[in-house]
Amino acid sequence: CKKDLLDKQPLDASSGATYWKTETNAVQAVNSIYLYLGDFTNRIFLSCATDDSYSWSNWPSDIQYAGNGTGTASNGVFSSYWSNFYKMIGAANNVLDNINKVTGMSDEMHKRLVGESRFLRAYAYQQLIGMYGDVPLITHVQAISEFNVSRTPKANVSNFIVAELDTVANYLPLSYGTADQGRITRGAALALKARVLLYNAQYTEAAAAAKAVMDLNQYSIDGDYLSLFNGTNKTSPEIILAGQYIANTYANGTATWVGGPTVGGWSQVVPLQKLVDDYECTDGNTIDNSPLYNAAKPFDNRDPRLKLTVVVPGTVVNGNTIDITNPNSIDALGKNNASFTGYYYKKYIPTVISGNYDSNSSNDIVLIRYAEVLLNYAEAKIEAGTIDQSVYDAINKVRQRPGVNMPALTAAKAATQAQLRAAVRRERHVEFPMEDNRLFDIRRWKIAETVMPGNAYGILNYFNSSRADYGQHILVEKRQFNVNRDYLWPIPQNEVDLNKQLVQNPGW
Amino acid sequence: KAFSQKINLNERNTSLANVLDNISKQSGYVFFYDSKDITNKTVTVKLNGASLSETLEECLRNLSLSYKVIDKTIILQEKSGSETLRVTQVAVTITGQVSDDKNLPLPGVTVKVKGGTAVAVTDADGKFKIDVPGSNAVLVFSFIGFTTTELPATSGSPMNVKLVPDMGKLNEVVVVGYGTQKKVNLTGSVSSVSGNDLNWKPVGQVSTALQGAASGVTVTQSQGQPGADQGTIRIRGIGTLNNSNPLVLVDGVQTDINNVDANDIASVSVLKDAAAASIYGVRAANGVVLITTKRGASGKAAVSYSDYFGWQNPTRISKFVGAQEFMRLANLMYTNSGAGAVYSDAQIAEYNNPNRDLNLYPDNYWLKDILTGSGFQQQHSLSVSGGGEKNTYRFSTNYFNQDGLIKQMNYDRLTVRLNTDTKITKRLDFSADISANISKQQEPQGVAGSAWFQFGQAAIANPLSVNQYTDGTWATLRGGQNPLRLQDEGGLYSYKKNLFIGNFKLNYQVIDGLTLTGTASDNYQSSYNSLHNKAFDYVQYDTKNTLTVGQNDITKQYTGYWFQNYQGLINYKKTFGKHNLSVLAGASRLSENYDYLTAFRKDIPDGDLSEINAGSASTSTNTGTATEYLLVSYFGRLNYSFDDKYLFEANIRRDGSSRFPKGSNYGWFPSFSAGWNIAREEFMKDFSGIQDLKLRASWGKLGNDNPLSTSNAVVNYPYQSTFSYNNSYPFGGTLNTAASQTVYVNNGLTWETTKMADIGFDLGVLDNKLTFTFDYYNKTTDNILYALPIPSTVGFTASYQNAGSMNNKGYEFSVNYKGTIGSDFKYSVGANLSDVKNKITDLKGTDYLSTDNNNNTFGFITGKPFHSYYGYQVEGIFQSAAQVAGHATQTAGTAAGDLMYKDQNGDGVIDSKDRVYLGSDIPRYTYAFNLSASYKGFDFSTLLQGVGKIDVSTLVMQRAPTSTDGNFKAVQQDSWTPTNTDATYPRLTTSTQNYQASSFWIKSGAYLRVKSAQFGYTFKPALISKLGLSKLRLYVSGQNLFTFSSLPSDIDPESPNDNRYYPQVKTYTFGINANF
Repeated sequence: CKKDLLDKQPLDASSGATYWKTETNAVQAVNSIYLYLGDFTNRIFLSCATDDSYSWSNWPSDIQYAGNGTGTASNGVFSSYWSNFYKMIGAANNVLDNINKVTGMSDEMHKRLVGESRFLRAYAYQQLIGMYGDVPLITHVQAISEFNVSRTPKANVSNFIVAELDTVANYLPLSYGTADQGRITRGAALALKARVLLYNAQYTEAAAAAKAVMDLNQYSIDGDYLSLFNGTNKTSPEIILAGQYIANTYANGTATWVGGPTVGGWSQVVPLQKLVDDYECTDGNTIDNSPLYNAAKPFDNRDPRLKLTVVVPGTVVNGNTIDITNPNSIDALGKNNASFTGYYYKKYIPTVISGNYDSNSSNDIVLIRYAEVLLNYAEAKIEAGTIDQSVYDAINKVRQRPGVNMPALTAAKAATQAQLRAAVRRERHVEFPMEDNRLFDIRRWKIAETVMPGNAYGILNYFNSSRADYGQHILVEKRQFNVNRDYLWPIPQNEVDLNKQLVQNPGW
Repeated sequence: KAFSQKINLNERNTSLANVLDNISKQSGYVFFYDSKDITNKTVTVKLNGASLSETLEECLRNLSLSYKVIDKTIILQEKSGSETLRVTQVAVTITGQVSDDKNLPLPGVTVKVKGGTAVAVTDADGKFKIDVPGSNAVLVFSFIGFTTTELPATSGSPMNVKLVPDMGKLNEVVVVGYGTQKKVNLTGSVSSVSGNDLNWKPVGQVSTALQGAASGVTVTQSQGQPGADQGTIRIRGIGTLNNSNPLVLVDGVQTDINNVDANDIASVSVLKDAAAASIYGVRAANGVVLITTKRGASGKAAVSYSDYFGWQNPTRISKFVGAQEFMRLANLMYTNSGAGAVYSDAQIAEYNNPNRDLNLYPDNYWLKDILTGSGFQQQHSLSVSGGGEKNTYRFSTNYFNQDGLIKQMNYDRLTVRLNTDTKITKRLDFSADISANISKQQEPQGVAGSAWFQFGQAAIANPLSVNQYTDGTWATLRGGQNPLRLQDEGGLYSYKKNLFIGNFKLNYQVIDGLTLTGTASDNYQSSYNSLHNKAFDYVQYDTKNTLTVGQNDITKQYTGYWFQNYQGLINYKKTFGKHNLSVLAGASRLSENYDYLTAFRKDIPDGDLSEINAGSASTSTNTGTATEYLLVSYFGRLNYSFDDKYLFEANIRRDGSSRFPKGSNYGWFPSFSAGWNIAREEFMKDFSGIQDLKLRASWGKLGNDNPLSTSNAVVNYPYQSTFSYNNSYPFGGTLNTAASQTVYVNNGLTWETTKMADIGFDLGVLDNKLTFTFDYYNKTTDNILYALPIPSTVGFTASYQNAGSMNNKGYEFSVNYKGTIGSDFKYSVGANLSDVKNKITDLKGTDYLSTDNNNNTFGFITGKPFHSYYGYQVEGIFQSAAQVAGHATQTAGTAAGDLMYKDQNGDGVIDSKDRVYLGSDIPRYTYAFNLSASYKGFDFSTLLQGVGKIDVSTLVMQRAPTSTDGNFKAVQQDSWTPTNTDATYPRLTTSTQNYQASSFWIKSGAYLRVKSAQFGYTFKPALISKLGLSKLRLYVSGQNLFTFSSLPSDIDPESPNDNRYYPQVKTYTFGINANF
């Protein structure tokens, strides 16, 4: 029979109808889900929606408006996370709907691929419910008639995630060979399960899940905090899941977003005073309780993580000294692209910024690490009221990381549930800046209404007398926080406009 | 023997009867008489070239007779008074033959008696026969495309009349799909434009020259970058949600309109309604533009040369504030928002010091600083044409060169065309047309397009951004490369395009009336882009640290394009008495193939090296793909007319396209049209002032198989759902292939169809000096191919679907007048007006609003125009906190000085439900005026073009920045403050509550623009003939000279609503035309 002349098919892509044949097909389709992991949509900016950081420009992310409360449902930041996570879910659903068509694949490989897909889908849902609350729970590729879905209660989605992770933990390997470094492991599934349970206030179950990760004996606290984020220690035993990047061919733009002018960056994610203030002094006391704290030299005698995380005057980054106290410095206040707070982040500045620097940061974006598992464990135990030595041990492993070596937290210092709660919350705050935990933490702790509104300040201006704010902290912006609205982001306006079943979050 | 009013007599004592007989022969008057007495009288008379009255008076003078003329009868009287002789005028039959300048008989020529009623039309051999009232009759010969000629009628031997072609009236023979047709016999709606109306404008692209030239054709030019300044052509508005570009055919073969040189164009026909276009079926839904190129004529070789030189300037450029004002406004913006001042008073005050350190206190107007180019442009054109009896040729070449407003941003193009015609035998003609178009566009290295980078950075950079330190070193701009430095030292992006077109046509006349035509067209186009980037070291002013920005890399992109079209046509024409029949049948096979290949390397040790081999092999990457398209078509046409009064045409086409799945890839596209030449009716004889009056009506169906991607690329595989391999993700430090299926599957895709009805009339009065054309149409597009948005929750990108329906109703009107004052002053005036009302009629229940990155909100709402503006209705500016508190709740942080939005649904909250329709950006009342005049050697032409009603969003152009990464416009000095409460603009803040889509930013974009004007002088032939010239003309010309618009003076009404585009340009040129 003669070939139909008009039947022209793409020459560089496989037809969906005949795709699912080999193991390679399945593996490559699973790989495509990972594309939505990492800094896919300037994830590093999430910090600016919290009391940690400030973003001064509305490009490439307009998260500034999520931070100061003047946003609307049309802001791009709300739709970029929403649509990227649903693309991740769509890609996973596509694999799960079709992978059984592949024959000749080992059961082990089949399970692993299903496990990776279901984990990635669960991860996307964890992020979505943290950002938007109730969201449509979609577990297969929808028919056109199913497009207009309504929202599923957050608790149900949370339960779904936990059940999924329970199942796939058994499907996934403990670790991979070098060639597959970066894929989902059993540890990742259990660690995410612990996070979701904790976030859903199922403390006993959360503690057990975290304990299960600890009992894998697969992970440990790394001796070099900064190396986890600057691209020099990608296979650290502390990292459980990270968005993978490599120089030149698959790189991101963190150096540009986070770095200051000297680094060639745009200072778009910069620390606020509130974050700086939460680092203890080296004696293990907060600055308002420590004799070591000297208001004239506020950065001395502080938790070493402060200077690993934040560039204070005189900090050296990649060999360059950054000194904003010199008003003629290109990093100084009021200079184009310079920080509005007087601080810069050091964490996440890659050590190698070569070539096309604005898109050539090859440091991985850490999504789950062992320190979180430990602190999740401690917090879950504290909230469950089952406080024992293991709680202190877990917190101290994080605090006493080599190179940090803060004094141990002891029962003498924090004995009650309330004291421990305060301790673990502060520990999370100073351990995880720029990782996504803070946004979810201030929401579930219901402290956003306290820490978010009001004036957001930067560094104390003790160095430039020509400015009106000499002798005061730089006033960066005035933030609004509407208790009845701002614990959830809005469903993107375009989504509500398209799908009449989606009910907008209150107040938006 | 000539009949004429001039009578010669030489008679001596001849009887009056004989003399009258002689006069009768010479004058055409026959004398009837009954009185022999009178006629027996003898006359002696000698006259040379006398009039009839002189002759009669002379003859009768000595005979005591007199005469008078009553009606058409000459009455001779005895001077005593009794009537004696009666003379009556009678008809004389004249015959003859009309031929053209090549001695070929011209059928269909209208022959009329001047001032009389008799009309005849030449037959197939150009022969005519007409009765004239007498010897002094004058015959008027008229035929479309030829100069109307008046000759005294001569009887006896047949008259031999030769008509000369009238270049000015060539457009009266109209090129239509697969042939030509006399304009009077057209039943479809066709606008035709002569090449002369296009090629006098100093523009680089034919699409731009078409602006204002024809009714129903809207051309918008969005920017002026050399080589990228093509206009967008819309025929009868936007008919679809995707590709609305018309089909363009040059000499019958599809191509990009900008591939042809304006100087080679003989005529352009725009097929607007379904009847005219449906012979092109699936490709014709957006109208068809047919371009015919000039061909040679036998005779002595004709050489013509023309060139011009010109300079471009931006039409309008944004007015920004300087450094000091910038800092004041920025401080106001931050303090309004609850933050502290960013700039200290000391810093602001330092700008009062003329000797300040410019490195620390710079003040730059970037948008002006980057305009470093000369804007010089030139064009040279040469053509040679001629030939013998059997072979004719026309060779032409054109060189066009345009330097931009920015250094290194330029365009260069060479076109060559050779059109040849050969008469192989009496019945077999062959023509071979070969043309080439070689162009190169160049720009300095940039990011995401150089013009966008240069203008984008300059429009955003605030005046505190240093461009060059006083020691000559460059500063980074906005953390990246310095655009000025890139102009000077940067790598180059070059885009080379080579196009070769061969069109071959064989025409065989089997018998009279039956012709077979075969055409083959093979085009090859290649483009080769070279994108060379250089890294530069920037020395930091304070620390003297060096920061390396960018990388030395090179990308090469090759695209090959093959276009093949083979067509066979059978044409049959037959006349039975007053019945005229013509039938056309044809088949066509059209294929397009693309090949793409790109290569990349970086780590080039020496940044000046710009070829792949110079880069490090370990960094090399490449990509490549290919696409195919095939269209198979069969078509037919039937024309029938009766007595040239009643006209009928039917077309049918069947197309098969590879862009649709089996089962839905073939479609039928029929059309029917009829015309009534009322002016030819008997009863119109009484209305002698009307030369042409025709009613036309048509209905037809057209198709579209041409969906466009969001990046405006042609989509060859709109229904296929595929796994693509062009992404990868790293594991273990190595990239792994990721196979992505990102588009939602839709297997049921088929044609988009457009049904269009058209009714119109043509009217010509005052000897066709004044002509009108009017058309009304109703166009409905169904099954629109569109990737209708789907909820993001689906997780896939929307696929193409047959998404809905749209309606366009409109009218077009054009009027032209040609006149003379005295014998030297000639002028013509023309005007055209088009309107289109667009409405979405169905969107499968998925009406939606879409908000873009700039917060402009567009509605896709049934019952409203496509892509219309939506947003809040602004009621004013809040004047007090109390007023804010008393109003429906707006965004957090709303305060006095902010825009007050109307609570449309009265629920006390301003939210998305309060957005309403605010206007449409589809131009309505598009109009143009053409004026040309000549007096002796001087000539003047101008084109005014405008849009009567259009809404534009000035949100991006007029909003203030919300951070210091941006600059304030001068107008923003009039922003609300507690002391400037009647300000034009709301208060400055870092938040966006005032920059939501709202009526505040929607303005009328109506404009009138003096698009082109030219003033020339042609030397007297006597003066230049010694130089071997037959014609010499010098001229000055201008493009985009004046603009009238209610928009702020720094916004160009034709430009997109964004500062970051290359601006429109105003061009002044000086030129010369010479013929040898």
